[in-house]
Amino acid sequence: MHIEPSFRKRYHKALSDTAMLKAVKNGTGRLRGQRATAIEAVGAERWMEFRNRAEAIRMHVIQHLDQYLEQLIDNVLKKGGHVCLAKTGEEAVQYISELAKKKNAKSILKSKSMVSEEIHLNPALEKQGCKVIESDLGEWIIQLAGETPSHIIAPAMHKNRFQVADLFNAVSDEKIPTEIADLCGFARKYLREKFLGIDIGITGCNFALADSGAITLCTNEGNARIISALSPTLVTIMGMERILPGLEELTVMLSLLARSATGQKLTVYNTLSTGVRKAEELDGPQEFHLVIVDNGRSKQLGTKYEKILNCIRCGSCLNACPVYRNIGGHAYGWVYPGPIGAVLSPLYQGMDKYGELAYATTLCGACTFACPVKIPLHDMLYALRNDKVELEKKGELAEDIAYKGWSATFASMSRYRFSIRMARRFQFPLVKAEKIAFGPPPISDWLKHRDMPALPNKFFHEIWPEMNKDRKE
Amino acid sequence: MAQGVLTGNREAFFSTIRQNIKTPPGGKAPRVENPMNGLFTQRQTNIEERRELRERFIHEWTTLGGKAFSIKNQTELGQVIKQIIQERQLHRAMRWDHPELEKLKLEDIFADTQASLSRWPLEKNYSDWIGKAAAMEAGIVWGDMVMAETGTLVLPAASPGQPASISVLPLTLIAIFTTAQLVDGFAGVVKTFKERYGTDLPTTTTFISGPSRTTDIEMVLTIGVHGSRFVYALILDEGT
Repeated sequence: MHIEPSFRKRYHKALSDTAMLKAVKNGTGRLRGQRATAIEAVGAERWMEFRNRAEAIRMHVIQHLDQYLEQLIDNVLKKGGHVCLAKTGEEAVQYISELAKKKNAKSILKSKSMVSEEIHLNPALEKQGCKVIESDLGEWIIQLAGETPSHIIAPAMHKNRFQVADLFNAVSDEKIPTEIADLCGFARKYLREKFLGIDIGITGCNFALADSGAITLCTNEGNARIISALSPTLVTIMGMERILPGLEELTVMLSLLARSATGQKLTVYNTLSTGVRKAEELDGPQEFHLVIVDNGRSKQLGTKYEKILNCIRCGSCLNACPVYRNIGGHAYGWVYPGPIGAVLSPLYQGMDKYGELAYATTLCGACTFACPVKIPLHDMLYALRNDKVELEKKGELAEDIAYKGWSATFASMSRYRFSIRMARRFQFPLVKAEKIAFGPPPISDWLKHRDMPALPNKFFHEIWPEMNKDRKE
Repeated sequence: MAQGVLTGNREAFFSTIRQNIKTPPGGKAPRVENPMNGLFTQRQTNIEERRELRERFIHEWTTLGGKAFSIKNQTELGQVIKQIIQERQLHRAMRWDHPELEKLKLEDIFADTQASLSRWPLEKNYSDWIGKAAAMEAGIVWGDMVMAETGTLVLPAASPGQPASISVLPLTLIAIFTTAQLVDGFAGVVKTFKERYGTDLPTTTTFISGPSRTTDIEMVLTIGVHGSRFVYALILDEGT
């Protein structure tokens, strides 16, 4: 397989960051446990019915995307909201930047939005003199660290409390204790002042409802809700696929999202907002802008990757993935990490840039099994590997030889048995305590982070005739 | 209300979509039939059953970190509110302008404890009300619909007197409602929404399940990072 030096560098860096790996293993372990408990409470059969229904809803929406988007646009416009249709990320950034200029905005408060990370919105706004502040605690932490999110729902999962305290101390006049309650208390106090002086609020969009033009925001902290209540001008950025027909479909998705993401029955705050406040209302935005972003999404429609647009960004595939759990999010290189990122990144950003991510998987299928909307992620990763080879019109020479040799050996029973006899005989210089302890590259790379058991004295197929004999007797 | 403005080329935006999904423009998609059926319980409830729902709600709400009280009459209501005022050491609170809250004479209860309760709107202009609202220690809302199965308050801003700010800015949230507001879960809420609003939803509707929470630092649960840290549900018997 061909791994770009940049990816190799990223995952080597990740593998040497023990604090990050410990934090990620702890975080993903907890989220997996909470999700399992939530599913157990629902019952496996009913959970499967939830997943089937959710898949059907998402497929239906994607197959009629134009109609639902048209309906949404008309409803938002009718209710006094403005809509920007952005074919590319640049178009979306330009629209929001011009709006900020027009409003002479100095203070912009954001709630978590993966699309805004995708289109590099913050640097563009800061370049024109706006102070952009992330209000989600995890997002704020990584903003202070000058990093990108490492997990879809827990963006600062890789940081420990001491690292967070250092970041907070850099913006505080006083020394903040490293107790988590104190750190959260400081964040509340610091960000509260910012909330009260918002010029423009920017939110993401969990789901938009076509039949009412309502935007749904889900946060456990309540930051999105404060932003939508206090911003005189509110901008919501949505990937064009984040749409549902109406309230009934939303209830299915909200139930799945919370349970899959954190094991909750529902996210603490789910807000449905139809945009511009009515004349006599005093809170809520006076001006509402919905920016609908394509940025490569429409190219997936009608292809074998179409189902990737079903994703509801719950992050459960990350927590299930043995590769993500061992390298964390930053090794993936773009906005979306884990199995979903390994599919989205090459599809949205190009095979030349991120095709290698298709190899950052064991193809174990844990991601597909975890996905609440049944996206066949590991099949897609396999397909992407095929596409990469097809696109490049060649595999690596060493890889070609290795696979041809493997194929020739394993196609014949006698050659297979001969090869394992030889391997067993000649492995002894490499074995220590029944494990392969040394080896040439690429085995040496593997051995740095994992154990490889030595070949046993007898394989199953060698034991089986004896076992079978005993059984017959 | 003035019509909004569309920016961007609608035709160009939809061309790739339509080309790839191969559907003609102007079609109407048939919805997935009854998407909620079988997933959520759908019961018609009488008063007795709603009292059972109250127990379910109290269980869920307290599991989430809230406090809940069953209240038989106005005297008990006064006692519980005074207890909360003392527990949270409240001096200033604000409430929704809602006819049901009006009936409960909450201002008198607050006045008895030397605390003040203001009714929304606090002032007419943003620059005047925002400072006052931010200084409030508690917000009181009417729990318009309440989902027992998930321990969730459903708060549609059905009139200008019922803003989101009251339920999210102060550290303490107090929701008052009767057992008549209780439904099983989403099925009951969606039914009521359809009957009341159709697709013309209120400007803001909020579903609140417990206090604000985060696990962003080391996955340790911390309560009250942005929204309410202390949440109280005061459930009155129907007819109180």
